[in-house]
Amino acid sequence: MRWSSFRRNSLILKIPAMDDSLKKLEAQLETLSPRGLSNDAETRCHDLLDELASGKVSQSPIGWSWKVTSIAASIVLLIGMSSGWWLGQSRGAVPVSQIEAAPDYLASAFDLVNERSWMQVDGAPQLYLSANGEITELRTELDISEETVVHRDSGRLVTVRVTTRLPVEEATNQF
Amino acid sequence: MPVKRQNGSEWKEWLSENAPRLLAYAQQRCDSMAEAEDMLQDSLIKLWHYQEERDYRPPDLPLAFSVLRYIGLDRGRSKGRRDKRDQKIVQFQVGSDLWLDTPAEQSEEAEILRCAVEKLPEKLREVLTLKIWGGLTFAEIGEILSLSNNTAASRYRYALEQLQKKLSHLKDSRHG
Repeated sequence: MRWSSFRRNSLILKIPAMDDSLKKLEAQLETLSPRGLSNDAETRCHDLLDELASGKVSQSPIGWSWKVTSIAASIVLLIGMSSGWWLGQSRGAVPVSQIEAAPDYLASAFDLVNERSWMQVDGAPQLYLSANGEITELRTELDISEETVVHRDSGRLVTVRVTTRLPVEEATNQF
Repeated sequence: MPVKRQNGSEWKEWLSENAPRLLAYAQQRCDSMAEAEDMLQDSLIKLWHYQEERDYRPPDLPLAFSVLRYIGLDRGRSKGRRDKRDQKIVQFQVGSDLWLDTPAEQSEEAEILRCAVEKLPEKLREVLTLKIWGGLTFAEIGEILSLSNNTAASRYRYALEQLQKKLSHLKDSRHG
């Protein structure tokens, strides 16, 4: 059997045809209609389109050309690397502090590749008995979010991880 | 420039035709209808410049959905995750800002269905929205969400199955 027909057949086997009840459900869903723009938003969008058409609005808020914007983004990338970002996955992570959101004209030079976030407990929780006889647990939770972006022009990957430490103190009866 | 102005009116037509489906998707990636409208407005600026190479023709829908997704992710990043969760809880309690309208003639059944859609997990609801109200193919959905066609199709089917279960459960609980 040729690979293409084998693959086609295996796809057919993987996703069987939907039964009538699911088709009926699909038809029911189609009767729900998503809401349109509010009058105010429609006016704003139309005004915006008029301004775009007349060339009054530039994507770059400071009026730079795309080339200049890309160069600026590359400079920010280099500054970011030297102040704690790291390239690729193989190098050791360096803590980052004082991260600020990039303005739109710089952010648009990057594409998001992946983002994830998770919580974890740092170290072992400590238990102590308070004066009123309540057992209290003291722990540090880490709220970690990680983003990987690719710089469109250079193809370089940048991963930024932000860790927020959250001290938590609460009464417990779980041991 | 006259050519651009003419395209501006084409874009307005394109917008009035496609705004509801784009808003339905934007609403999946933010907390309120007002924010979804802002996202759509931001996406118009990006799309306009993307289309410069194509004589400012109105964009294809898959590109518009991709740009909306990118803007949604970008907005999500700039807000704190904790913030977002808190806002969602508040929104859930308020219960306003619905993004789907139900047809008047079958209101109870449609209302149950709308509730079930809104309670679907985000990943399933996203594919369902792009397929049913976005009118995209699984290949286009896969490209936008960086998934294989098979995964997009499986998520869609799983979403329908989940909806079916939730529907019967909601109907049972409403009718005692």
